Amino acid sequence: MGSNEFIGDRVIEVLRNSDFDDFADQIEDAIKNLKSKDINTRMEAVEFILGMCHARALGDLSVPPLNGNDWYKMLEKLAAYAKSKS
Amino acid sequence: MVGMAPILGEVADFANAGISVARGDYEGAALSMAAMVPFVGNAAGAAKIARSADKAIDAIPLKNNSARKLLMARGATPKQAREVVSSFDGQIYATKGKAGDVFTITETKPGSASGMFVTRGSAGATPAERIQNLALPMSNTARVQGSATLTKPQVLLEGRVASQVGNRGFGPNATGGGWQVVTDAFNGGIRR
Repeated sequence: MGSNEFIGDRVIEVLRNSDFDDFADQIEDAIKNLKSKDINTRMEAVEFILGMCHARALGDLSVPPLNGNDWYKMLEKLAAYAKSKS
Repeated sequence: MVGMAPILGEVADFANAGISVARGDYEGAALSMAAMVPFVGNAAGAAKIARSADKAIDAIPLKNNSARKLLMARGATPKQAREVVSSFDGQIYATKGKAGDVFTITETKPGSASGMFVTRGSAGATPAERIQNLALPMSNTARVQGSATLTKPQVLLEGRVASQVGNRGFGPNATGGGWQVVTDAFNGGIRR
């Protein structure tokens, strides 16, 4: 498991700590689907994560004590990880 | 102040091109913004954008690249800055935000949004209207309209909201057309 794979866990943890359980569940499911052998399932998960890791989507959430820029950097890493699975 | 040179240079270039700014309003508007805050403090060009029938706001038209540089100077990554800038449709304006200025945040639940994207008043009567006008992503239900206050003087980026239809994470109703304001939320520039 590469270090980038842990970024999903960190993002989910931040979301749960800020009571964004719905988003955490959605990201958790999508990350699981990134490992699917079915290309369609995998691509759908990639697209979903890339959409969520947008400055105006999850990037616009308030997730104290994280600074918004630090939070976005985490999302950027998650997006890069998802893209690597496409 | 050297760091602000590229932005100021481009603002000045824009102004020198004579785009959209009436000569008569130039100096007064520029002077009124002169004591503003870094990045716009010495800008040579200014305009007024009407936000209501009885109120106009001093504004400096910015090139997209200048807006990106401003956001990156605030700590945004290049990708983040691009995404913010591309959420505007057409001209982006720099305006003066004062400590105490109050804005509206459209969000899923109270406190869920960062306050980076705000509006001057309500963005629509219903969640559906707000989603449409602000081209909100599917992650924002727009059910809640909260208010937030600037904590310090800052440059605000303002402009019309671009359509996000067809982009990942946005629904078919995210057509935009509303007016949004981008604050310095990530550096403590706004609080509820």
